[in-house]
Amino acid sequence: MTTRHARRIGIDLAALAVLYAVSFYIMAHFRVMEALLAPGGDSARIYVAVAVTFLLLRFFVIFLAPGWFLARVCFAVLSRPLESQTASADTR
Amino acid sequence: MSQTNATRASRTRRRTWTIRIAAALLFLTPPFVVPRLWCGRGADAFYDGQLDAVRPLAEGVATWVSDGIGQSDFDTGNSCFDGEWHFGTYQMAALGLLQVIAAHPETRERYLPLVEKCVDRLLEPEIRAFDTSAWGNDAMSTLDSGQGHCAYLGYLNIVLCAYRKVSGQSKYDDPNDRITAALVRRLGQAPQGIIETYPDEAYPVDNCAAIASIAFYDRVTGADHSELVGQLVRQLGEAHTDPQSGLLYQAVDHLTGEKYDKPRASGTALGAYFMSFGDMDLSRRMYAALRRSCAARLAGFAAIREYPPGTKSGQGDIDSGPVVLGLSFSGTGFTLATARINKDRELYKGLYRLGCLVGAPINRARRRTFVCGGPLGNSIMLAMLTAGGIP
Repeated sequence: MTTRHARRIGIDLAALAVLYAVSFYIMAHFRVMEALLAPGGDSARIYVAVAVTFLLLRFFVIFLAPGWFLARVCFAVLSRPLESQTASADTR
Repeated sequence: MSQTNATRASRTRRRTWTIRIAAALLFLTPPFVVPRLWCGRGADAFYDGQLDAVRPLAEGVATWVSDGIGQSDFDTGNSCFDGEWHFGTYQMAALGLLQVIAAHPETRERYLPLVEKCVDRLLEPEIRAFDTSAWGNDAMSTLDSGQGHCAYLGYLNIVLCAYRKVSGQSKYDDPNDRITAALVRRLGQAPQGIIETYPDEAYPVDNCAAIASIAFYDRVTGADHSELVGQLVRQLGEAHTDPQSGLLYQAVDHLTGEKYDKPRASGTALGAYFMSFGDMDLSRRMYAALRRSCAARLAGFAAIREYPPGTKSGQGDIDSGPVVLGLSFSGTGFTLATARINKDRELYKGLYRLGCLVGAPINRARRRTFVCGGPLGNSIMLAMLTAGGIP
């Protein structure tokens, strides 16, 4: 894995972690979930949108992100010898 | 030379595909492993009632109670719902903390004063303003009348009985005696064994709380209303229950018994929890119906459908929360309680995982808080996760 690959994966991971932490803070601070849990009430739509966005992000982090990062690491690690192999063959 | 190049190109292609397949497998495998492990942390400890697991959540709820919650803390967009949630927060907090005390008597000194704070709040006119507003009169000042006030009185009476049982103290005996007498009289005169929550609105789930509180009162005080309770339980289990699914009808006419709403899981699940304080047999039957007709499972997660199979699903309301893919927020949360009471570890863990996925718990300063739950959600989770603690 090149430094460039590692840096990109690291930056994405850090960005996701920060986004996730900030969204936790928003949910805890503004209690927007209550609007979503009371569909009979005349809730502000923005609250519902924020709550749904948070849940989608949480689902992504728990269900998809681990596999996504593993797959990217796999590509980065295994593609490297392949690239160098192709490059050396071209040189010859 | 060209043959060597062709072989090399073929090998490269094969290797590229191997990498792609490996990456695809790495991408697809974690969703079946990580979420169930991530969201299932602590499920067994809660199921087993370990104090290390229960205490942080109880501390989280204790903080809400200590800080005090007002109706302005709720923002459902409807003042009646705000009032119900305000009331429900203290009711569930009191029940949850009493269950913790019953299971871990060493916590009594810490939590009993908080329970008393909850009960004091529950008895204040301000907290039942939603009920007063709907009826046009105060539930506690009109106990001699024939009006229902079923939800406020029934839910409160369960807490008063639980307090009496767990604390052994007589601080709230007077309201407990008076409310029980009023419920006995009103239910005894009800033609369908159902009394109103609000004028012309009757909900079997609220009556579960009222009826269970009478049976609970008998168990705690030695009084005997077994004949009336037996008759009311029979009516609930037969006239107000869907014979096919075994679920309670959500709303009925208190005079004719006509069904105004479909059989639904949210009412049945909460009713089964309340009924566990009064008539274990009916509670078990309701739980069995929920499990049979509404439980859905996937990859270690479990949820409860709001409507039984063959019934057209609605979008959800204040009782169920939003119904997404037919699944019920409240039904899922409330079924946690009866899964534990009925010693169903597998379903409990599945429901717990979903509760953690959606509720998003965080641990901070020795407290555990479901950030999506707010005061009501956290109180409900405490009561549901520790259900069955009061003998």
